[in-house]
Amino acid sequence: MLVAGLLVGLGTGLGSGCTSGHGVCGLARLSPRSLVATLTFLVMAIITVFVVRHVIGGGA
Amino acid sequence: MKTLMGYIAGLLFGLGLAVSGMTDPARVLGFLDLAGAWDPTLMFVLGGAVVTNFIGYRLAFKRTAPVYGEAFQLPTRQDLDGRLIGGSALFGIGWGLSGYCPGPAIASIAGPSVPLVAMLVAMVAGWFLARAIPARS
Repeated sequence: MLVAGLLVGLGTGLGSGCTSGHGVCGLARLSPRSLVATLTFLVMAIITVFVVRHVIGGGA
Repeated sequence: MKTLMGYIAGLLFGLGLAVSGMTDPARVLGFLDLAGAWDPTLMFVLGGAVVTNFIGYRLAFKRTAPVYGEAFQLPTRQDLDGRLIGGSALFGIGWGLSGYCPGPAIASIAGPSVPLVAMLVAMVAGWFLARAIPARS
């Protein structure tokens, strides 16, 4: 949880936005930066969950 | 009045996050777990929020300035850089590990737990770390 929190903080700090900032506000303003950011963090989050649950965890 | 409006907006945002299930890491991870028992409901939360916001912006920007502010403050950058994409990728990994993104994590202070507090402390540390990394230009 500490590692995850650090990544969330560092990532949103560097990427200047999170789910609400890029995903909700940025997409609603049709911002290309926000579209790229939203796709990037969604895909990375889906891959992470897949690895944790189905590769390391062996399905759950 | 500006402070009161800010408070009401924050209250509405937090209420929306809590009611929609965004503050429940198990639901968030279920949404991200396409290969497992996928729970698509949060997609409608994001989609609904974007549509509502899109309409709201259209209405709000008919004004030249906010009702309780001097001017709208909007991002103007259009370029894609490594900081945006790399940062978003790191955030995605952290989101996938914890099930918390910043808004819901902060809203969840209403019902604190040890993992949540650990996550929040590390998140704030991450923000300071990000500010210490200078932008390459």
